[in-house]
Amino acid sequence: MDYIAGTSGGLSPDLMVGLGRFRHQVFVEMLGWQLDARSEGLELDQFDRPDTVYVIARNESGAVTGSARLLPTTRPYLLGDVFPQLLHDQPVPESPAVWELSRFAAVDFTAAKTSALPQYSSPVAVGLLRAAMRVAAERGAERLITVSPLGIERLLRRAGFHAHRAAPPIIVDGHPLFAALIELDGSMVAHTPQVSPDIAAT
Amino acid sequence: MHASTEGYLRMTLKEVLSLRFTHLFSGLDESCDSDRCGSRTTITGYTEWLAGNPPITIGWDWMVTAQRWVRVGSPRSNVLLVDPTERSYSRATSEAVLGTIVDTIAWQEQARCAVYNRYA
Repeated sequence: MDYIAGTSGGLSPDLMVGLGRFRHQVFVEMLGWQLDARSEGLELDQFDRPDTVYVIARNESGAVTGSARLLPTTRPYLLGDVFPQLLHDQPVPESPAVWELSRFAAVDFTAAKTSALPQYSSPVAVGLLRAAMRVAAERGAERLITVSPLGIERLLRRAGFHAHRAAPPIIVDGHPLFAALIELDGSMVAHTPQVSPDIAAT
Repeated sequence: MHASTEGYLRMTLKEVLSLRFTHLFSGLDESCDSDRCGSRTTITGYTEWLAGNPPITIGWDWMVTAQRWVRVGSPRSNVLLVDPTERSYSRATSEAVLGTIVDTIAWQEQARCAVYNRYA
């Protein structure tokens, strides 16, 4: 497993297409999210900008098996623009110390049995989250904020992350969602996998 | 009570004890992600409660065993308890104390009714 990080300008076009296809497979085809697809079979939205930072997991054969999207809260981001109600009238974070994690998934479609449900519990997911934490910390983040299904809170804590809710959960389309804060503890970030730039893009 | 940069609401025990928590929603575990999953005759779920403004949220897992609804594990909350001098307790201590507080709430019947109405 290797982890690659960069903005769209620093990732190869092939990897960006692979990322968009992976996200479409996970979020549209598996989870049934009603998302606008800019291109057929590719899941990208208005938060996929030139300054968006991606962290991508690939397996030994080079297939994308995980994705994470990092956005600074000093610019438009998913929670602030689409789900501010999750903070129940509290001000949405706007700080270089808080980055948003979104479109997080770890699914190996080449494996015999796949499920998107244990998003934060599989070894790949834990490694990917740690890689995302490291990448965010290198950019000045002290904590991540993320819109998540409520069950993720339990999985994060079970995996040893310092995560807690920012406000009460709400039901969206029949599913409880909440705003989770994940602290970038120094010890946690220190034990993260190496994250490389995309050498194919150079 | 005051908000912290980490997103916690820091409250003293006295402040938390003065709150009146109301039921928000409850549900069954939807995924087989726990060690308990697959155990025969075990029903598990979660319940969410709310109080105050800014909103204080607290939720915990439960299981039904021998026809009794019991809390499982520590509650999850946006509250971090502080002592009267506003020094924070550890997260583990805070959650343990919050657990003893939620155990004084008669949550079982409301959770049971909510689950029944949601899934029946």
